[in-house]
Amino acid sequence: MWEVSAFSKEKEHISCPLPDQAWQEASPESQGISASNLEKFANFLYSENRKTDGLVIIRNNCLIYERYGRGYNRNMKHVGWSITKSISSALLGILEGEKIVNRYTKVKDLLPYFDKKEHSNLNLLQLIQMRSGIKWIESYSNFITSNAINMLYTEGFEDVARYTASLGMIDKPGKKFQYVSGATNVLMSALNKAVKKSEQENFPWIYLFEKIGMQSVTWERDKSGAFIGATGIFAIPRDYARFGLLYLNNGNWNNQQIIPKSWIELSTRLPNDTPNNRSYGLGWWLNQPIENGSKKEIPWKLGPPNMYAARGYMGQYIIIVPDMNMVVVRTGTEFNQTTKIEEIIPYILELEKP
Amino acid sequence: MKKYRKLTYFVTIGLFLIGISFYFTGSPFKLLPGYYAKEFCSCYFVVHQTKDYCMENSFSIKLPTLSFEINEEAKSIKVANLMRTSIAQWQSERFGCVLTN
Repeated sequence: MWEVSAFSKEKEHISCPLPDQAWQEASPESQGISASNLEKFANFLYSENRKTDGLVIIRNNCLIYERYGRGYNRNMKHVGWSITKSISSALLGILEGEKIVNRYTKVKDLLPYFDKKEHSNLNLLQLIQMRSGIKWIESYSNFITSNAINMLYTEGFEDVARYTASLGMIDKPGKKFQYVSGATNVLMSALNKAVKKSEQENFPWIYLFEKIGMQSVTWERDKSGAFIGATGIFAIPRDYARFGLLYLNNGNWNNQQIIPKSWIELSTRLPNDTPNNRSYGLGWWLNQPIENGSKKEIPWKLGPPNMYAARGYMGQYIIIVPDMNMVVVRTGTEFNQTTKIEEIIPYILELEKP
Repeated sequence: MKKYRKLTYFVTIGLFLIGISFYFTGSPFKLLPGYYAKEFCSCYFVVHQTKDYCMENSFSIKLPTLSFEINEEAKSIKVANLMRTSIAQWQSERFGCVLTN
């Protein structure tokens, strides 16, 4: 039923090189991790009411633990849902570094159908910050009013960005945080127009996936051929871990700067120009204090303030804990989102304790 | 008798109006074929899970459909109900499934 690997002590290393091809495996103990606490953590995620499909843990660049269940194994891809948004953000940063676009590039300059007066100031940064101002209902349970669902399966499926453009605006761009999946789809459609025609079909692989060895990625598109930038990624958990490791290493992969370091920094801190009501950077969920009435609160109270996570529907997580030099990937199929990051954090913090 | 005829008339008109409004407001019934076709296609042809697994784990709501066809050769899924027929087509290892109809 379960495929479990806590790696043997035979290949012990203090830290491992970044995995160009195969991962270097190491025992938890060799990386200062308690094997019994690791087992407790895994058993928590694999308890009966938590539909965990995969768990991969990286410490000091080494693969120290993985476990699969519920019909999955290490070679099977898993849907990432909104983890995709973090990857779309990375691509914006990379293409800015390559001077193909600028974060302040106007959407209308790449997608001319954003032609209403209210769209005129909308730029790429606002899309990934979730400050687009687009009129939107984000829900995966309300099948009648949800724009997210109608975009993917009815009115919008032929061209998700054009559907999003048709909805109009509720706020001025840049003013207010509102989670809009359509905005990330607009971003990927815009990036698709920005790259050379010969790169349009494959630019995520050219600029990112091939450089860090993410060989398993499937990225689904709409009927017009644009990548579903909000939710379209499928990959094996080990490849999600590569992406997390790239961020943990500040965008550097074996001495090649794949994502500009400044982009990683910008992505993993709250914007300071306008207060957010959610702790969200550029496509990443953060643990930095947000204003709640008169007081400031951090979302994951037990977690270090510099940790951050890519999060997807039904319990997909890539959790980055810089203080522990650790990446945790968890995939799942929980329609009711049973397992929250705040429940996972105490188990992660216990891993370093004997 | 006349009273019952009147009641039947109003009930029929009422049901008709409810049906029309559901149709034009994007009711769940209208979107389910697209939702089922695309998600099943990804689960089966991209993830390579079994049919039983995909049927059990791909959908947050489950309602009956008129037809649910898996074309193994063409790698496509066709789902129909009274309001809509949708087709999801597997494209390639890199691009997965797309809703074509």
